[in-house]
Amino acid sequence: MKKIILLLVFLILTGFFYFDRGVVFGQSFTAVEERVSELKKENKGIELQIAEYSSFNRILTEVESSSDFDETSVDRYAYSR
Amino acid sequence: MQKRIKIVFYFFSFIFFAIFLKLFYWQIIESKRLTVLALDQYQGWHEIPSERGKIYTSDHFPIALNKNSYLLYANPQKLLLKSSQLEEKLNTILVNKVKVNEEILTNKNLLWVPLVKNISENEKKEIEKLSIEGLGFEERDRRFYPEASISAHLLGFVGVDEKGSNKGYFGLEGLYEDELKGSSGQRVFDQDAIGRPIPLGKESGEKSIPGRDLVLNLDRTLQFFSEKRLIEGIKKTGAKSGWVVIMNPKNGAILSLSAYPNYNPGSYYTYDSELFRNPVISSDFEPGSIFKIITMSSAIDSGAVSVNEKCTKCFGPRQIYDYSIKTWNEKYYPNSSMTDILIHSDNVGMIYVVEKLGLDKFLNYLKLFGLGENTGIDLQGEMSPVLKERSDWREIDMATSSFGQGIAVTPIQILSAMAVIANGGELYQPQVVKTIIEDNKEITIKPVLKRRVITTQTAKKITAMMEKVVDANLKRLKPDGFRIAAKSGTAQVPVRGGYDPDKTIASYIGFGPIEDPKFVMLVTLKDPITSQWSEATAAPIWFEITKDIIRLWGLYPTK
Repeated sequence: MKKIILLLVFLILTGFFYFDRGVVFGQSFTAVEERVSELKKENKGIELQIAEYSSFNRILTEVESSSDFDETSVDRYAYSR
Repeated sequence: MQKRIKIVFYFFSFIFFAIFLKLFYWQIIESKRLTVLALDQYQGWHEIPSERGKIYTSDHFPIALNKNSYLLYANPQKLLLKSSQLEEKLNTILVNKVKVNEEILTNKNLLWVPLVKNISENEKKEIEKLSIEGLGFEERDRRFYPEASISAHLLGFVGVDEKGSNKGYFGLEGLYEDELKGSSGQRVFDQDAIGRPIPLGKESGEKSIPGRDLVLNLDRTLQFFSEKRLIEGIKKTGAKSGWVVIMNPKNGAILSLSAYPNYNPGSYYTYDSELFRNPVISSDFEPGSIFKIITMSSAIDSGAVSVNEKCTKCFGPRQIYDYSIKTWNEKYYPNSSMTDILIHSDNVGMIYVVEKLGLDKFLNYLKLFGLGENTGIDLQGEMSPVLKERSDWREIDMATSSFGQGIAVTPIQILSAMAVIANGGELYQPQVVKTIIEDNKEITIKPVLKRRVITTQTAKKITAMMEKVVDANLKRLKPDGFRIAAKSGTAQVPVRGGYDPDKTIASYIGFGPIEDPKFVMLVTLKDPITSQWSEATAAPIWFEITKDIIRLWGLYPTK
């Protein structure tokens, strides 16, 4: 019985010894890959929002549709950049 | 007994031999075909589309990128609603976009029936709220152009090919299709008898490779302003169409390119396909008096005439065969200098110049300036008018060509030729793309110097003459304190058997500041109504844009 217990303890210790520390304490390669892909998706969304909201086309449309339309305001925006 | 054993032996031998032959046939001869059939039966695959590369202006602002969109599909096996009910429910969100084919949707052998393409994220969420059993979404990329019609002719658009896959047409989308499209990947999985993936089955595949991104030489703010000024100018002058092209003369970088009427590449299918052609690279026109700069440069560079030489034949109209060639205002200036000929835009004076130059040298210089050949600009659809063969040139052709009639060029050709004067005599290939980005690696495209056309001294002499032309004729439009070299041109429009008496093409071309040219620009208006003269139509637009450039780039006056 003692021998069996010792053998089990030995096996558990060996398991700990050979266990991949990267997986236990860090992130697996797949998890990192997934995170990168999430960040890329997030980044894509942000880029899209910036492009949509700060395009000259949108600003021009908004300025033209506002009641106090002043053509020079578009010029002022562009020059202030 | 022995006989019976033999019969049984032969019988079984025959059977084994037959089986052996059949196995040989299946496993050796038909092996490849049957393997493919088997794989097809238990393996499914799914294409992973690649993300198309983005296009950025020089300030890294995206002008072509990809937006998520969704394809709505139905699974008839799981669908509980009737077709009419489904259509009604979906049309509350996708107004009149859904038209259901009842016959297909009630076919329980089908698993996937596409319903509506290009559904936005918000529409998808709204549909999901309806919780309709048997509906699904597939994510797809849709090309998105945040600046809409601005730069349309430069960008081109993304349509579909004969297989239904995305494909770029015209402009950058067309020319850089291979770089932009990337390569699609695929996921291979084990499937059951009706094509459903087996959850614990084997799965393998290749990742998709995204397309390369392009960074252009284009100045976004300048592009916006030049297009705005062009459209305002067209409306003011009643012109039919027009274009503005701005280039850096020192390396051929295209800083702005606009043509009007234009189209929105995001909804190209709603426009007339005639609009897709970029007139700056694929339409030819008779340039008129702006061409005098090319003729004069050639004559001075070859030594055929000198700057202060007096014209001895400028006292009246010139008769060549049956043609009487006059000046534009029928005023004549005997003993004009070469500078005076340009200031007065004197057609008779230009005949004097080209006659002294001679046809052979004239043609040689035209070729050196890049006329008669494609400039090599990196946009899809460039076309060049052909220069006539030497034997086809008559005296009258040489005479009229000297002042830009009877000879055709494309806008990009004449702009590249003018850049030669601005940069001191060298011809550069116009370039739209500055950098190609692939996996964080940047490949910078170097300027392409084609050849030296004229000497630096000649370029300086012509620049000084062009400055005098501006100061003599259009000082009122010139920005104070800046030295500008430019020339106007009003060309008649050729029709069968002559020229249209009512139509003109008005152009203004030039560069600045003279001390260190930062831009060379061409403005052209087709068929303006308010005035036929370029100085009253195209020139004001040219100087408006010049003033924009001065403010945008923070240039300081030098005079």
